[in-house]
Parts: sequence; structure tokens; C-alpha cells
Amino acid sequence: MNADDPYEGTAAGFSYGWSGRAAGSGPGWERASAQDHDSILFPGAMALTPPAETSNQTSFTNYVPNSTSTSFTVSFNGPNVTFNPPSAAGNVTGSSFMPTSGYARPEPARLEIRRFYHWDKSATAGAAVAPEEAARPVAAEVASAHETLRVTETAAVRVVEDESARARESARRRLVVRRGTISPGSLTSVAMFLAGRRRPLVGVEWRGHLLGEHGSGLTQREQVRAARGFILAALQYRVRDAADLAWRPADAVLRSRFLSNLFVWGPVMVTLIAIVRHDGRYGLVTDDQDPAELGAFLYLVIRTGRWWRGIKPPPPKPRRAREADSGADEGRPSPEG
Amino acid sequence: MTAVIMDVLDVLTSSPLDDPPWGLRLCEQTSYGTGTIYPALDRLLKIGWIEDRWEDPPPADRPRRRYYYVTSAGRAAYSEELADRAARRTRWSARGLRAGGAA
Repeated sequence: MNADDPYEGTAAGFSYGWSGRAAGSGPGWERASAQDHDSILFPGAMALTPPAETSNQTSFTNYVPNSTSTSFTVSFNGPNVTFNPPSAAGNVTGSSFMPTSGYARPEPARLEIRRFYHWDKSATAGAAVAPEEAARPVAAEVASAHETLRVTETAAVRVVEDESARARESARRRLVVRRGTISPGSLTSVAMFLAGRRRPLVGVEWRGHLLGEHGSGLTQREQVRAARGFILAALQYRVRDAADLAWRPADAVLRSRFLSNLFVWGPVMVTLIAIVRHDGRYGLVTDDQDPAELGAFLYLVIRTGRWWRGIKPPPPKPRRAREADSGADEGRPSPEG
Repeated sequence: MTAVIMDVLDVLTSSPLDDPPWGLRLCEQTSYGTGTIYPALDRLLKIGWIEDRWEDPPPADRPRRRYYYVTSAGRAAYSEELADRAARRTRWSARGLRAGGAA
């Protein structure tokens, strides 16, 4: 007897099929678990009434009514059932057994008995668990399995798609990070390019800077910060170079006394000539304020420009050789001319 | 004269001749970044207040360093600026004291 099998032991299958007609069958059937080609013992007095459906079976070949045996054997061979009453006498008379054919109207549980006779383990199993479950058609089972498979496949596809999307997103993020992270060496190269050809050795200096005081190198963060500073310095170099280029004509004027005097006196003289031509000499008296104001303004521009640019004009040349000699001898600066 | 120029000149004038400062050491001692120090050095080089010398002989395991020295003109300008600042500080302190005494 297999106690783990719910369809064996304690006459699981038989209790469904025979309980209604085995009068006084008692608590159960011993060895009823041995269902296939096995025997069943009927304890005590009982009346066994095989179901009417069994009359249609051709398996009752050895059934002997009015047997006095207390036990008999029921053999199952697929859909066939065979009763084999033993020869041993007992208290139960054969009258307690009723012949199969023509007796006993079918009970409402007749189908269950049929299910028992036509022993099908899976069918019995279905009946033991839930009759409606067992009665489900195979097509429904197949459809359910297909539905389960379809759902499973859909879920698997969704998981694969999610994993692929996640992998793509991760790869994209890694690419962005890789693009966003520029090495200090690359930044230094960019700074060297920005610094231009006029400063070819700043690259050597800056690369030595990245290596640190003892050649062990700065940390990555310090290197990146220093390299950004190199770029800023290179940009300042460029801006200053451009400003110097723009200031070059003005610086030339500010450095040269001749050009500075020309810058001041040129417009003043042009103005004076224009006044004389337009108003005559009398105009110089009446309009004398304008050339003086113009000259003062231009002189102020020159002085301010020299202060702003930090330019000191060269000392004026000595007018006379004697002054030059005396100036050189005394070590005094030459007077401005 | 800006504060950066003053700080750079201060480091350069106080450095020994046998261990002159270079870019990284100037950044560390002045606490300015490379984007501030190197343009200031370039400006000082242009006006002639400092001069540079490359490390000689060049080492084999790293690039050459560029050492900076202050020139006499730079030292004079720095001393002059220090004197001017001291005078201004004294002048402002005297004004403050006079204002405090008057109050």
C-alpha cells in the first residue's frame, strides 16, 4: 500500500465505486490499494452488489454467486474486472452477494463506479481531486498549456527585450562617460594647440607640471584641474597676443617721441591752417581756443596711453654736442627736446 | 600691480638661487591655479621683471622644468610696490587714528 498515493490505500477508488452497494462494508477495504491485478479483502459480513454497468462487461467470468467465502479477489486488467472468490469458507454466505446482471438500479454515483471499473489512474486521480477537473477535455488542457506556453514565451520575450534595452542604455551611458572624460594629457594637448606656435615649449613645461614635484605625478583630479588651467592660460595667452597686436600701432606712437609729437601737433597745425585759410589771421585771434583745447586733449591722450601701457618714451636726443657732453659727464638725464 | 603679481614676486624673491621655483611649486606656494599663475609668469617675462631658465641637464625620466628667477628690475619694482603699500597702509592707519581720536 502506498500511503503517498491519494488514489491508493483505504480503498480510495473503491470507496467511490462500491460504497453504495457493499452493505456493511465497514470502515474500508483492506488492500484495496492493490488495484491493478491485485486482490481485495472484504472484512466481515457484507453484501456486495456489483453495479449494473458491469453487466455490460465481459470480465465477470469467474464470479460465483452465493459464495461462502469471506474474501474474494477482484482482478483488474484495464477495463476488465474479474472476481475470484477464494475457496476458504467464512461467515458470510453467498447470498449476501448478488449477481451482477439485472440487479440494482444504477445509483447516482454510477459514473464514478464506471470510472473505477474502467481503471484509469489519471481518471481516478482526477476524480479524487476534483471531478470537474478530471472531466476537462483534452483540448481544453492543450489550450491551457498553449496559453501557459504563450504567456511564458511572452514574458520571456519581455524579459529579453528589457535586458537588451537595459544593456543598450548601459552601453550608451558608458559611451557618454567615455566621451565626457578627457584625459589630462588630451587637455594639455588642446592647451598647447591653443597656446600657438609662439610658445612651443609650454607643452614641455606643462607636462612636467602634471608629473608632480618628485615625478610621481599628481592625482587624477589634480591633473584634470591643472590641465583645465592650462587651457585657460592658453586662452589668456591668445587674448593677450590679440590685444598686443591691436595695441601695436598705438604703442609705436607712444614709444616714439616724434610720433607722439606728430600725433599731438599734427591735428593742431591742420586746425590752425584751416582757420587761417577760412578766417585769415584774424581768425587765429578769435578762434584760438579750439586748437589749444585740441592740443591739450591729444597730449592728455598720449600721457594716459603711456601710463596705461607702461611705456616710457626714450630720452630725447641732445640738441647740441656740448649739452650731450655735459650731460654724459654729469650723469644727468638729457633735457627733453 | 595685482595681488597675483605681488604673490608671485614674493615667492620668487624669497626663493634661494640654488632651488628656484617652477610652475608647480609656484602654484603650491601661492595657492593659485595654473590658469592664474602661468599667465602672470608670461606677463612678468614680457615686462622683464623675471627670467626663465630650463633645467640643465635635462633629466631622462621626466620633461625639463622651467625655473623662474626675478631680475633686478623685478626686485626693484617689488620693493617699490612694497614701500608704496606700507606708506598707504600707514597713511590710512593714521587717518583712522585721527578719525577715531576726533570722534
